[in-house]
Amino acid sequence: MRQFYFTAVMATLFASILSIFLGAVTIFESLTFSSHFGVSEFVSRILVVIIIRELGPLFIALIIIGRSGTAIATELGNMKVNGEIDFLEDQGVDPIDFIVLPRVISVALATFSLAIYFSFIAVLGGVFVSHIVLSIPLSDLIHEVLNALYINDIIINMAKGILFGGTIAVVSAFNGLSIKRSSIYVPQATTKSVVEAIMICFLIDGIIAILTFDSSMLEI
Amino acid sequence: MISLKNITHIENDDKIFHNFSLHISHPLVFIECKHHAKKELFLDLILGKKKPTEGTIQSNNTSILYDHYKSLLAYRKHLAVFSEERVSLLSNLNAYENIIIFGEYFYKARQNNVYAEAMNYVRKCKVENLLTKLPYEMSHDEQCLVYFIMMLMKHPKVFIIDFEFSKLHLSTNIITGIITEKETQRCSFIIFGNSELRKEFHTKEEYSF
Repeated sequence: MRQFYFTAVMATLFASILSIFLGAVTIFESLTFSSHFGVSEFVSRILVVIIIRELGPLFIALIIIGRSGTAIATELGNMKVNGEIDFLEDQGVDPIDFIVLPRVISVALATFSLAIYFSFIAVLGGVFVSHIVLSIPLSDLIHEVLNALYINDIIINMAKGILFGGTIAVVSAFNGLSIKRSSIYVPQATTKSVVEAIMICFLIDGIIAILTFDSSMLEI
Repeated sequence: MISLKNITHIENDDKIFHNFSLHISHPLVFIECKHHAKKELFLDLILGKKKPTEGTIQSNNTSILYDHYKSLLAYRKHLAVFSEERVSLLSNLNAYENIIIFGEYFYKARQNNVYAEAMNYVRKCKVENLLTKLPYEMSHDEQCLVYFIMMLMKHPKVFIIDFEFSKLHLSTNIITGIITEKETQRCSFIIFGNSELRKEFHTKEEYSF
């Protein structure tokens, strides 16, 4: 619960500000792009694909890596240095069950929740900013976004949230636990966990993009 | 119960144990030992952290499986070791959380009893004022008492206590009182101590090394 609170609830404000900016920028750029090429009917679809399917979960993954991934790697690294992991093993407690698993579940759930929240706020932010700046009726914008949104987009967003969260926690915990018993290795483990988590999250994102690629879009 | 059969252990060409056997089946075994008696090595052997050069250590007639991590952990669950040198609390949890999380882990099925039992030991060990303190805010003696409660919450079948405290130390009296009370509760105690401390316990079996 403490891990979920730290990962999800305490990151909400930062995620909200970032999502509004992202939503606004994406819709502005999309409208500029569409007015140049005359494909304005695809603006809502582009917004949905970019924010809900791609950038929402990825931005949240980056936030979680920076906040919680580093915290997990440092915490577990320090526990290893202080002999707390050895202490647990001496008591017959499996550190994976006792320390890692609850963190993986909490971070996966937190990333899942934040990815949905981030995407919702980003789309809403984009819609509101468009309404204010470009004077497009709010009802038209909302209608267009809802029409452009498919169930697959929501499923992909959720799946990415869980996969990214679980990956971040596993990579960070693994790096934290695999250090030798000296404090000089803790910062190294933290840096390594950030780099590896980013790489694996982008790799997962790429794989999901290939697996869910809709070839019918090419015909349009 | 635990039995050590014909243990011989060599470290850095030093023969530390030679054909040493010990069968722990009594509720209370007192081992009187001198300084540098290699207690820590003995504890490591009993916990399965080190493999003896020769001989076997058995728990309920089953030898320790050193290469099987899960079996080793399952074996250690029934053991509790209290030694000043091994006192370790989880640094990001306060005293109460350390005690409760341990109780909850070992007694998943009886969670309601965990809180009452923990508070009972807290009162007996007189550590009520430490419950909200983090480990770094406690003295070593205070950490020892919290650690002792954590070990009690494991409900071990064998409880090994290495007494470093002097006879007059407050912790010794508290711990001695709890041991005497727990003796009747299917838990064997192996106590390491000096001759002065031996008089405190009515032991059925005594060793020295």
